[in-house]
Amino acid sequence: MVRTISSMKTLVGPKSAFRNFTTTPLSNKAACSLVPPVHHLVKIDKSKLTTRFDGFKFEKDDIRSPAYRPKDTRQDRLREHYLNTLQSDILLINYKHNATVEKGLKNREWDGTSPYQINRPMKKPKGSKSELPDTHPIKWNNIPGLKSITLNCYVRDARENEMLTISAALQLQQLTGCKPKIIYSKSDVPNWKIRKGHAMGAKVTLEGYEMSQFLSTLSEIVLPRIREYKGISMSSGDRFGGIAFGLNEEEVKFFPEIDLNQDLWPKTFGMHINVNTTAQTNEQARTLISSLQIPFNTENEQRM
Amino acid sequence: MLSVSCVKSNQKNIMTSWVKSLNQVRYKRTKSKGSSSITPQTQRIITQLSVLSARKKQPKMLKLSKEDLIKHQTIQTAWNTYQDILQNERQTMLKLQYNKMDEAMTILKDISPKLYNQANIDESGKVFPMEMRVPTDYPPRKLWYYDYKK
Amino acid sequence: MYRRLIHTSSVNKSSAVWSDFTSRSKSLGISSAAIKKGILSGDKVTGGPASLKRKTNRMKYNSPELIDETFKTCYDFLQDRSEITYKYVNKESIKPTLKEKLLVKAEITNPEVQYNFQFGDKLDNVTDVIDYNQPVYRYLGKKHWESYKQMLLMQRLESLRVIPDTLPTLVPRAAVEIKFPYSTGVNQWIEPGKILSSGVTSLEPIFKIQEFELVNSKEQLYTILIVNPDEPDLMNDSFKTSLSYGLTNIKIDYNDNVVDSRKFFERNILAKYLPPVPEKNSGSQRFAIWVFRQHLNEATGQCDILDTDAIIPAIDRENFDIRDFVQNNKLDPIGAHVWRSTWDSNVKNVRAQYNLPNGRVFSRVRV
Repeated sequence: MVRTISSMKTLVGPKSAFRNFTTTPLSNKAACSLVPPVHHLVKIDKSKLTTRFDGFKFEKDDIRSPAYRPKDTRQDRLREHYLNTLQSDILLINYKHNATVEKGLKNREWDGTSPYQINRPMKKPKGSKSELPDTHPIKWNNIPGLKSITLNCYVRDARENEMLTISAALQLQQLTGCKPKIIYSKSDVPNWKIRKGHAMGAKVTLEGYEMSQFLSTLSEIVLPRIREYKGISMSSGDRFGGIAFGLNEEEVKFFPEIDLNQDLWPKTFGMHINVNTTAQTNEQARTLISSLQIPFNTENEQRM
Repeated sequence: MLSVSCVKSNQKNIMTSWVKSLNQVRYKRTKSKGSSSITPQTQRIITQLSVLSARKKQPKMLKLSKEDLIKHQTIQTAWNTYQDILQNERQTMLKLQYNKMDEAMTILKDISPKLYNQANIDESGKVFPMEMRVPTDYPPRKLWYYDYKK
Repeated sequence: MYRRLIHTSSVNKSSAVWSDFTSRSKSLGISSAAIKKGILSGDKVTGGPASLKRKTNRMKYNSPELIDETFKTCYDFLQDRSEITYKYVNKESIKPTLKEKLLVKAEITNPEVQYNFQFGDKLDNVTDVIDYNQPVYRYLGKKHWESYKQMLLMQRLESLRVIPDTLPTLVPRAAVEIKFPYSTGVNQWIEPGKILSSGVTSLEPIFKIQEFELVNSKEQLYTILIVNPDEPDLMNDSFKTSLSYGLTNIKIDYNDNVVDSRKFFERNILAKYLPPVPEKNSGSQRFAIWVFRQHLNEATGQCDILDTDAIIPAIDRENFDIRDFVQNNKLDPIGAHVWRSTWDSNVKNVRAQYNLPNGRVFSRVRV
């Protein structure tokens, strides 16, 4: 209907290369392989063009796809509680009037006194090895929420007996209902008798319903049964919204999956629980996690 | 029995000592199948691996008729649309809450700076009380067993 | 909350926009009464889904539990939302582009529309089932085209170097399909880049130009060119582009869009069809089809008509510069297609049929 600017441009594009009718002599050929240019803007998805594996061409949320998994099949009590009650509370707790963006540490410019500073990468920030993110005031659109939970089960005895990692993986699967991954040591440490590439344990990352399920089991069944449990240390936290705590091999036995058939579990494994949130600081993350009935060791804090 | 097997093994030795036998000879199985060579520890690990394995746990793919496929897609669309509505509603409520808080604080600052300062104390890091529970359909009578003994 | 929403929707019972066909097109509903009933009110009573042909299959089939009841609430919910959208469409004097968008939004969730589109023939469409005059079918058609055929076309154009050998690039906006008449033996739409024998291509092809955008189809005119950029040019030891076929001032509709001999007359022909007759050992030749929208004058709403009497004498078919031609006549490329031809034993018959001279035979010479 209307000639657009883009179509006008099409007429003054690249000319094609000159081609000889006679067979090209070898000397004219490029000695290296060249990536041919693309002359259009349409994105081509090769997996859609193949004639094989028709089932895989569907999106994963399409019921015709072999990878289809139904979602929202059950009520998620924890998430509903978070959306209905906690969000507005957390917004209120973190509210500060006229709050502004707190700049994180950033790389520093050179002062330009020496000509050798031209094109040098910027100086590292003072007091940190790398740049730190800005902290934005909490508003309605960035209220801290749960992202994921990673259970990390490092088995020290696995350096002698690699088969223990299988038991550890099985324990994680029984507790969460998700398939764990085996973790391998990254480097050689002769003092600890660790060799690189040796299976050392298992880990699993939970999201969505499984995460809520695990958290409510933890806070309603496991933690109340731990004798003289003080709560998570107030110093826990990675400064950017992650909080980690641990359960030892005795405490893991309080999970109903293990508690109900203890004779099947002659050996249990302790694990680290990393809670990843969208909070920007330790304090925000602590508020969020404490709202999910997980106790913090507040007494200790006051004494200190 | 014994003597026969002895003879057989003798014959075998003779055979191997002279020429390589072309035909493989099978004798009667003396060990029971499988388990005897596997220690209980290994068997345990095999069982654990089979529990971990995803084999045979994949449910059968649903085959829907054309009508049911369309019905399913309609239900999915309706559900997603509904979730979007809820999400928008929640966001608007939170935005209203934030704006109202902001408005109130701005007014308070003008009216009473003393009250304003008290209201604007930094509360970040505040911990929720343990008594605040995730609602359940059937809550327990006693909330927290501080002196739980098994 | 969901309960409440469902409850109000079932109590009001006011909206029936999707079942009222007094002002809506017939294509927005399912034509088969049995299937329509099966979807809208469940097929448990009628004994299995009507789309299954064999009775035993119908008896064997088990549909998921409670799907009909759930569907009913969802249908009412979506229909209510569609009604709100329709109110917007009717209420205000809105721009045509926005109206198009709203009409798509109002109908895209309609299960009857989805059934018609997903299981209807999108290429040889019946207007009672898929009517491309409806914005929603144009939208769905565009998405369907983009999901496979557009990518395939662009991949072939790129890998066969049709762009930039003929025109520098293409911003595809319309689906172009070609087919050769049944008498040549192949009665199917040709996939881009196929190597066709000279017998198949001996008669002029039929084009199908499917527009998805909002165009003024009463005024809009189209030009179609077939060029062959692989004609040997021995003087320069290179190749030249020749024009195989040219049609101009063609008028099409959203649904009636097959360009065959019924659609044009002598005055629409820029260049009569010359079939591919590659010479022996000259390699395969690409035949690029380009479809253009002619320039539409926005002020008058009239489309520029190409003056064939003036243009035809100026065309040099043997040494055709398609870029100049497109620029001089203000043509807007919207779609393309390509096929390839090589020499085969039937070429000499085709040459005889069109009174063409015998072709040369090229051979390798040791220098």
